[in-house]
Amino acid sequence: MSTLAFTAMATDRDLAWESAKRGDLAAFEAVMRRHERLVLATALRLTGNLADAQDASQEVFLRLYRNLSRLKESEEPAPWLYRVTVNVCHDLRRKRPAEGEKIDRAADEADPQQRAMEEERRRALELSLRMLPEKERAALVLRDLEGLATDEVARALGSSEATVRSQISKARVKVRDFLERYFRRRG
Amino acid sequence: MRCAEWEERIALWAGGDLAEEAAEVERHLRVCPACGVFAEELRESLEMMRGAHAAEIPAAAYTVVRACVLERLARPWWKRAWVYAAAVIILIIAAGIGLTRRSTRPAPMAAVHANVRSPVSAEVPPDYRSLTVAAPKSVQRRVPKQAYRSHRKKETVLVKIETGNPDVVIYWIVETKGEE
Repeated sequence: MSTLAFTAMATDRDLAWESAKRGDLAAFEAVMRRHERLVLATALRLTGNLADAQDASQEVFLRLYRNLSRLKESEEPAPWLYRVTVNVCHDLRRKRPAEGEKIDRAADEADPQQRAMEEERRRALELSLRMLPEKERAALVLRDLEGLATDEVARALGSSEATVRSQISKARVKVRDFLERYFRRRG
Repeated sequence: MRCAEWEERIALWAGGDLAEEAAEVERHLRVCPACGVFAEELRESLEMMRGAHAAEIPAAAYTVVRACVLERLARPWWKRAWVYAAAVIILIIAAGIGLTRRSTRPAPMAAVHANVRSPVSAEVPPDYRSLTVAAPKSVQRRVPKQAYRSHRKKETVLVKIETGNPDVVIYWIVETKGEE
């Protein structure tokens, strides 16, 4: 991307942010569009349920709207959004007991047998994530699924890097052990 | 059996989170088949997890979120839930303050039982139709008429004084001079 194009994008972002701060809902919609994948995908991985993930995303964006003036213009909102998404999902999980995965992402796979296998695999993965303690799950989702660096995960979770590394390694081992047991029992 | 002491480092190595110790872990994996299998399975489970979550979320899901947020932000203030929540909280606080003030007010004092007479009554004119009893904090209360009417006979007077503290009740027993 050329420097000129990047500068134009940054200016657009600042303009939308500034207008949103003044209560311009169309501008806030533009801000939401820019960050919606981050918020909804993270929420979906943390809650394991699309309806809950959507509820959590709504709450995150409402909080973002209320905090627009507090966030510094130069500051990248991603770390703040990750942190709030994790907190909102934790609150939601405490309020509502975990339900099964509702999103039908295998519908486009033609072969019924392959579809069933995929579904089985996804179910196992969902279960393996769900049985993790909240902090380990959040660390694993942010590091391995969102691709954040360890220090970014630490900032988002308000923990030290050493703690996050320990949580990530424990979570990986638990997921591997769970999957191994799950497929051995079924295989 | 995998080596427990290597578990954490292998798990970090499998996700590419080891820099300095990576070579050391790789050396161990070459000489320990059990840990080699463990590392391979860790990498597979990570790949599986990333693959399962790589699927795109339907665009409609984002649209729903945006629409709901905008609808809530555009809602007039009197239709927002927080307005009612705030009103309820204010009412609760106001009621709480009212109750606190009421409970801290000194309780009515000197509830004098019927047919009793306070020694103070000796100093008041006979035609005085009511009797005042000195109570703490200058709280005074009228004594029932019959208490005064009985002043001519010798009798025992029992005065019960209730204070602001419900645990403290003062009984004042006085024997009055008078006709037998």
